[in-house]
Amino acid sequence: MSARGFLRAALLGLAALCWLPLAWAHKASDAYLVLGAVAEPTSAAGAGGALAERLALRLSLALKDLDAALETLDADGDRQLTWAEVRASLPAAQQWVAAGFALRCGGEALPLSWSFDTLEQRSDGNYLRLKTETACAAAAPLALDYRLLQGIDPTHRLLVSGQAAGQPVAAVLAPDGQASVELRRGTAAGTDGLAGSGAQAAGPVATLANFFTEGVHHILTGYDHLAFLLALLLPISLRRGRGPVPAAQARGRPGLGALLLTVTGFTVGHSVTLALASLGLISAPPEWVEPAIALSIGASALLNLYPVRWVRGELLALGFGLVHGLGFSGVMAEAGVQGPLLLWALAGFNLGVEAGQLACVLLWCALHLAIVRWARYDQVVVRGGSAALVLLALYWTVQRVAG
Amino acid sequence: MSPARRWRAVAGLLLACAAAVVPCVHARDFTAASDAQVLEVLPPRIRSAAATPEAAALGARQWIELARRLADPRYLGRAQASLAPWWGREDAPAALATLQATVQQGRHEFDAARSTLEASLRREPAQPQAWLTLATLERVAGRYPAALAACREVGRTGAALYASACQLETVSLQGRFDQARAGLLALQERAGDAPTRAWLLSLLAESEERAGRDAEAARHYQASLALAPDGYTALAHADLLLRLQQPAEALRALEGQPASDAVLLRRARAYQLTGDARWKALSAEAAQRFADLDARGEPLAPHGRERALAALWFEQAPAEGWRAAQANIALQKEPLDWWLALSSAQRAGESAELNALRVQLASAGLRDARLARWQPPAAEGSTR
Repeated sequence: MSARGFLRAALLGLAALCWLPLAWAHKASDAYLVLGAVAEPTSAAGAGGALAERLALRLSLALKDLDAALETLDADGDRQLTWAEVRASLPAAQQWVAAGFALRCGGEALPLSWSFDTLEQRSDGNYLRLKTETACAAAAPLALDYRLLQGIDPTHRLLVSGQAAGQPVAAVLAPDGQASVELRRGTAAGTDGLAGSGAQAAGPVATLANFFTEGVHHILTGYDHLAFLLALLLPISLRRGRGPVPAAQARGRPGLGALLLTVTGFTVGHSVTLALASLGLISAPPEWVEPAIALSIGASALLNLYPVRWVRGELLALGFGLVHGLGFSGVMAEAGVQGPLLLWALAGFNLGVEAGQLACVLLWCALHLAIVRWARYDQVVVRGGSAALVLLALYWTVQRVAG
Repeated sequence: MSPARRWRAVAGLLLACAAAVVPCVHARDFTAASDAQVLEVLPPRIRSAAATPEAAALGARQWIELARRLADPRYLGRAQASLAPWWGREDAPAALATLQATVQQGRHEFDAARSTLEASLRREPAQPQAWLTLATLERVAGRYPAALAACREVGRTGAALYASACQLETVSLQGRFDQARAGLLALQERAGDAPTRAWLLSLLAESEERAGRDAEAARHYQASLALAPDGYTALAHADLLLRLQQPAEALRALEGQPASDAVLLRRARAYQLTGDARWKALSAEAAQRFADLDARGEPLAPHGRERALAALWFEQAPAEGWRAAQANIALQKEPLDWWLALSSAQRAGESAELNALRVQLASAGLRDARLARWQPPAAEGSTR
């Protein structure tokens, strides 16, 4: 507590400057925006057309902040702000908000007409809450620009919460820093700081290349996807002149045909769900998808050990491929790509995944051909490997359910 | 990872954190009863748009003074806006750099405040205020030799009284209580005006409290407050009274103080000690304020002292209390911060951390009777 001594020292004549208190009664300046869907479906209003989602916006502004922005708020200048003064200033406040607050739907700023909602009491004083409604196509990108109090308070923040397009939204915007945000799927990513470097600013070819690399990287470091592929490939023997190994016999065609069908099945499966999820047509919570991916590995490996005649490898690959595609889509969601570039990103990512997958399959084939003549290949590699994969899958399942 | 991806990852992480806490922010809707109802008492108008360094300094000082008087950090942001054209600039006029450091210190950005001051003092060493603020930063960081060096620089600028007080306060922290007492009493007698004497008496009171002479400390706090009321002295006085199990007197000492987080917590503690149920409402209000800070995405450390105090007094959450106290002691090392860290570590059963803290305390060289049970007996040279 000794630090406060110099407050006195400062005030006593050295300079009108002080050591500031170490605890505050309040926080710095915040505004709050709550987004919500409007219950009744509407038709052609706004930019959206038939698929338009109506959005309700509620913006809470501290009266102290409004005073700093609007010279005329305290009309009589007595610093006692009355309800009559606030009401008389509503048009000016709405105009000020309209100038510093923009919601962009598909790149176009939506015309917003703010009106008075209510007064609010918060921990640091009283607030004015304004409301408005608008519409934006459910598939169109939705972005927010916020410049209120720019130049007046560099520590001012807008705290965004609520729902947009059925997804939770959360963001913290700073008028003098990160003043824009993409609101979609709850994975809003800033654009201001990224412009020029991120996929947002890149052209179709750059996006394709960028996400191709991303896809290769993801499959090569996605051990669970590789483990699943291995579980499918283990029972397939490419050895000529010998009968297929028993497990493969039970699970489908022997040899190269089986291998191609299985890999194709996996590719088709995960491409379908990856595309659907990235386009926002389906969604699945990661807390279900991740354990399901682990279980898919265990199930495939277990079927190598205890074959079931009617379960064919390529169908297994197709079915579980759908689940793995949902897992891949998480990466796309994190990247937060919106709008026309999404298709390029999706194509690039998928091609990258296939390329990485193909490289792994070729590597496996080479290894397989090198050791398949070993007398105990079936016992050690196929059965032992499958058993190990079952254990690994169990471990991942537990870890993902618990985590 | 490319920079863009890294930014996206960071943004995603921040958003996820914000999403977890934003719904907790509390607001109560209301309607005005009449046109004449006063919705807000506004602060005096202060010009923020600064054309000249002089105007910027004037505006920033007024905003800082307002922030201090109302215990409202909102106005530190306005002070920063006043200084905006020079903020963070190497060639900013010295007075503006010192003001920037004050804003940074007020936000508990101690390292930033220190670099700002050091850069400014390298270019223009004859700034008593900047040296004094730097000395205080060093004391808060527990670097007493560096603080003493800054005190000597205050003396070189000719501000003898401030240089002496600076030096005496620092050696008192190092355990030379008798030297501090004699020196501060002599200064106090020589000082002319009441506010200066009140300030020196408050330094003396704190020194006596560290020396374990609680009755003398209480007497000096009272004498200081009688000469010139001051929020910080009142808070220190209340802390002493709470420690001496005199909650009713502590409440009286805090009468008329703005309800800063620190004051709110002391009031709640006093009610709790007297068995008055009002402590629950006050501690809930403190918890709400902490939730609002989280929603802004503010880090734990700058509010760690209050959060650790709240955990220690009102919550059955020793692990959380220790986390807050640990973040706080990394930021500031005044006697209260050591006491909080040591008590919280002990309560949380962190014996390894407790021992590490004791080693750090010994190497910092702070002597304080309130920390005696964690300190080895006074070494030679400390006069108790």
